[in-house]
Amino acid sequence: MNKIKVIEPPKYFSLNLKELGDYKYLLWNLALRDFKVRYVQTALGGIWAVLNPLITSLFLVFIFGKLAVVSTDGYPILPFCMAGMIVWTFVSAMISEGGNSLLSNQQLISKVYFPRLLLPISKLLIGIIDTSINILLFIVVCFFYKPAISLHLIAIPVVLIILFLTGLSISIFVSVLMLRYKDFHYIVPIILRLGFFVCPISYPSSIVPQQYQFYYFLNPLAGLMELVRWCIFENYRFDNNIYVSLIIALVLSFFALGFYSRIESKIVDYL
Amino acid sequence: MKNFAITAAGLSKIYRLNRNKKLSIADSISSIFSWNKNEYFYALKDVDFQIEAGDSVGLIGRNGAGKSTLLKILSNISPPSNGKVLLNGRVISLLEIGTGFHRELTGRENVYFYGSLLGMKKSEINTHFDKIVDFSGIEKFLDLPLKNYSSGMRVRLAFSVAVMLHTDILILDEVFAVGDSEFQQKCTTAIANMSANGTTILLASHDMSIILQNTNSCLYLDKGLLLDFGPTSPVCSTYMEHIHTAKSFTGHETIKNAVISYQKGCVTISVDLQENKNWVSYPNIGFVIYNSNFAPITGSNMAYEGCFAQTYKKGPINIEIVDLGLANGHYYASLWLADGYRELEHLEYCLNFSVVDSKENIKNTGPIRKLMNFSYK
Repeated sequence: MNKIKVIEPPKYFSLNLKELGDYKYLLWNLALRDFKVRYVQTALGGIWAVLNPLITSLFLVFIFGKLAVVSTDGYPILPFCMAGMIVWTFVSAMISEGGNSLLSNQQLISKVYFPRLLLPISKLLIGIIDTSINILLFIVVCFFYKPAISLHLIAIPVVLIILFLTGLSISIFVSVLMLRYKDFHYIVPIILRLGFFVCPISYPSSIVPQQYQFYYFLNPLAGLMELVRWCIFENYRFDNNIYVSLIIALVLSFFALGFYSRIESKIVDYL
Repeated sequence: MKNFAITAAGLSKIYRLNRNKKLSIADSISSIFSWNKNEYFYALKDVDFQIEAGDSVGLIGRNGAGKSTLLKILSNISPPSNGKVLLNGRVISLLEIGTGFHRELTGRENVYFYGSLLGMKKSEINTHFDKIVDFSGIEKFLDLPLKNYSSGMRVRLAFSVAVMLHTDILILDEVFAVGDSEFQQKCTTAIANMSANGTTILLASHDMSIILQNTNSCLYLDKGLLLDFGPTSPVCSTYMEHIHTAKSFTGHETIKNAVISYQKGCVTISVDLQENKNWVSYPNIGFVIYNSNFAPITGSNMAYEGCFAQTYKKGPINIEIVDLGLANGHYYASLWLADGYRELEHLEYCLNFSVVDSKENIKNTGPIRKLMNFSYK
């Protein structure tokens, strides 16, 4: 006996997580496709995955370590910046690539059914792979600089999971907004450019005046970056406002799933 | 009793007409404060039908009748506004050939990607892989990137994936107009085989001969309403009666009016173009005549018959088909207009006529027939 599928007008909340499981193979293929296509016809191929964050970090070291010297609370500047860059590279990819995931697959969305959530999730998979490469690079750099490593390191998997969830939820919001409002084609680049300076990538959050700390950590990325450093570097300052960031990150994730389940079936009508 | 495959009950789809205008945030905010600005449009209205498992069903209707909307709802792409659909079993829907193909990936990679897009598991694609490649006839190029394929090869590959994978319900939208005639024949056979194996087929097309050839019953949509549902041949006839002005029509974009007449074995078509179309250089009018099963019988065009005019001047272009030796029955004609470069207008089955006196006319015909005569001053 066949399974009977019912198609009805969208309900207020309908998130079919079981169906996502049925489409595992497509998810894998979507990620694989992007990965294969990405370095096609480039001379250096996959090396770019390592080269890109390395060059940015070295550049940061040059600017903030030599020219406009910023205090890093005494931690070696290259690992310090790279720790922030790992988070930022991931999140900015989720904003730009994940944000574009619905828009650049309009053709698919309007002609074939599959859970639309697969598109941002496939970008998440790629983001996770890229992040792993960055982490390996970071470990190599740490062998040279030998910063004192904290015991908090055991908490890093949890922090990364929160980071990935946050990244996914940001890309869900951005992807739908980009589809719905063409304004976001202009807003997203601004966010990406400003975010780089707003987040504590090349400086520690401690340089922010005490009375603004709470507001500073309203940005969930600020908390995540500082949390990553707290996990890695020994005696790194733990600001209690990091909890604010974490709560915002988790709330954001729940909202994103709710928002998504509400909007999924309407996406095709926005095209 | 047979099982149902697709049941639709009270299916409606309502579009807000001014939705497309709201592209900026400011518009969106301002719309909160304005009331009743929206106009609504029923793309589908209270459509009910039930398709039995194993049936081949055609879907016909004019442009904008709601065919694509219905197929999108059945494919779960766009949700209905009201009503309900029950689908019994797995659905593969091919609303467009080659969606999701990536030009940088090889044919093999694309088969797996496309298969997974249609909801297949890797093991299923593995099982059918050889059949797919065999059917498409492109095994030599399987490991080349798709960008090196001809468009015909892409289409064949895409179609092969969809037809060779096992499914309970197959939804096809206007995808037959692809490939060469040999491949089309292959597809027809493959679809007949699927149907024989119990796959339910829903096929939308403007081409009546494809509908008649491939389906045994037919849905006829008009302006979002289901007008008729029954055995293919009578439904198609109803449709043709509805859409075709009997013996003449007026007011198309480039073709102003056309008249067809039949007298004593001689078919005459007279075509007038819109006056403002004097920019049409080397106007070329062509026609195809179909029998009542929409199979083409004959056709020609001005250029083929050696009738050239540099520009279009006022006055009708007359086509006289002196003797076709047509048997009694009902016939349709399609007209097209091209200039020196491209087709400007194509009117499917836009004219019709009947033959009732075939016996006498065939008797009069001599052994040599001068078939056609295009005249234009």
